[in-house]
Amino acid sequence: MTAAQDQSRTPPAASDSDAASLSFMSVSKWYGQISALSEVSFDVEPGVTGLVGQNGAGKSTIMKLAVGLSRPSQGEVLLSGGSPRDSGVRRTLGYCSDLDRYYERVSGRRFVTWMLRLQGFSAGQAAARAAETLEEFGLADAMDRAIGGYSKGMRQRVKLAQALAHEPKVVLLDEPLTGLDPVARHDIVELIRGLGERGKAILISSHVLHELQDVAEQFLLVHQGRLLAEGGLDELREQIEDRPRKIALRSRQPRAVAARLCAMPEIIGVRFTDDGIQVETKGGSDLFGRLTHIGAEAGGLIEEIHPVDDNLEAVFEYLTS
Amino acid sequence: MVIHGVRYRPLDYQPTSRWRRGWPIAWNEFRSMFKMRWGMGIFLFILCFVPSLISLGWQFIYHGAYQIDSDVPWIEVVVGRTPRLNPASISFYLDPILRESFWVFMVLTTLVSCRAVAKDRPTDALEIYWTRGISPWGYFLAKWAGSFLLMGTVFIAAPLVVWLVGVAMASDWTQLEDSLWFMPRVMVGLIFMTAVLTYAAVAFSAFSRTPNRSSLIWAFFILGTAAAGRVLSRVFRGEYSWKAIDPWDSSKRLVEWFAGVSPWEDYDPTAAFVCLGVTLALLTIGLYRRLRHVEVIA
Repeated sequence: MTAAQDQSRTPPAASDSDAASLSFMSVSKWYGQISALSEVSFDVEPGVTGLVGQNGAGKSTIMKLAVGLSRPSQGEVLLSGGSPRDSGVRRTLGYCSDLDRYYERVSGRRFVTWMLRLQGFSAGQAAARAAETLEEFGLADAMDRAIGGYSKGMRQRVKLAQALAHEPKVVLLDEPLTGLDPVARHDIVELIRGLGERGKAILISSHVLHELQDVAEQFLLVHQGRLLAEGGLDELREQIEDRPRKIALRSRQPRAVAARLCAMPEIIGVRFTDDGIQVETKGGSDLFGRLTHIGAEAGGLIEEIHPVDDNLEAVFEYLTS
Repeated sequence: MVIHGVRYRPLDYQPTSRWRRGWPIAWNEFRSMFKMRWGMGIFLFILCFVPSLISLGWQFIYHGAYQIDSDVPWIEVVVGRTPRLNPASISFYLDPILRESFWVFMVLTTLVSCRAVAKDRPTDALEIYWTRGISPWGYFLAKWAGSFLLMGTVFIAAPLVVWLVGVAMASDWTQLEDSLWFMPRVMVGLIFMTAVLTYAAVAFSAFSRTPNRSSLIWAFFILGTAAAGRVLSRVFRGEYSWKAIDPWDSSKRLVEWFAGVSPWEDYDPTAAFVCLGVTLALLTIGLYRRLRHVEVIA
């Protein structure tokens, strides 16, 4: 599905409940003579989708277009079946920007309550819902303290709470894991996964690829304003045929293992490393099963098998190099 | 038995109207005066009522709530010499605002109105607001409403309270009868003036990236146009219409003309209307360009 640029997509009807939560249809965006996005088409469905790209690749432009802060120069963006600039449609959106300079002197409770009132909650409903959401996000004890005194992790939680308190259908998270310590990162990753499981469509942008790999099931890879690839990680890796898959093996008898591997037609290279052997293969993911089988047949010759380049970072590097 | 599954379920709530959604922004804008450090805003705000408080005090003295023993009917003498101290005259209600409150206008607009949008730019609050179903114009109107409320308490509510207290304290209905014909026009005039001046100040705030810069430019604009108006008026041999380039002066004249304050009832308001109209039109055109998310390529 590499570089899927399906031009023939038609906009789903606004009333269609099964419509993709977020759709980009041949969207281009220019800033003067600079092209920030070029003919980008994709759909974001319920679950967690990672938006991957280097700085300046067009991730922020996609986010701005998706939340309606920016208009496409060409093409169409649909959020929950309608225009993201429509206030009714925006009610289905939860947006957590990467910016962190909001009101330092107000408390977390007040900030979230205020955001809910702007969203259309009455004063009473907003106050109750804000308290409930902040408790859910583990800020029960800190919600009445000024945001200025919060740690980075707490600030991210408040940002997420304001984005999610109104139970939006589509959630756009711009670099939500930046600057977090490992514990806070783990908590937020779990939280985002949980949201995806509850049927929300989540688009999460990051340039830290290993973080995204932990949280997202689907990926959109953007590079130089173009959609490079979209799909699940395994699916994408399988598509990259010109790059043999690298697998690292650890064994007490590496030479014996290498001899057996060389006899396999799909193995195109074997290299000895400090830890064992690195194999290059054109085989698919089923090869792991066969390697395990060989290991078992040869009386436990192979102690450990792990893929070297079946990760987002490698896939992205192969696609952009 | 029903299996609901884990599909997305929206929260059940009835969204409030567009106006009610803008209210938190307006209310926050109104309150921003009182959130300054060391209670400075509260102190200045109370100070803004001094001209109206003096009028209120005079109402108490005039209607005999505070007796000053004297053999001569000094109140009649004072009112005879200074007609603007007569609570049944238009000037009694308008002069504390139009003649003595230019500094009040400067304090309130410089500290609050002309910082309204500028203070939200550096914190990127605009990005949050505009993804919340508040349109850029809805946001601007809410900011304007907040500033209008703040200045309106001094420029509209205070004279109204002074009038109501006077009417309530009077021994008969004479004061009500004498003032009822002009009071609605005074109120309409003051509402117009407050609305125009706060609109201009809030619109100005959209053109600066920082609130301090906005305050500075606004102060230069108001004081500069006032000075330029006076100079041009002198250069052109007392031609009054040149002063209309000063928004404060032109709106002041329009209020006096509309309320029928002597001698301004014969004033030709064309120049004031044109100058204010051009200023507001230019600001509105500028707002169309500035009141949007800053689009920059990463």
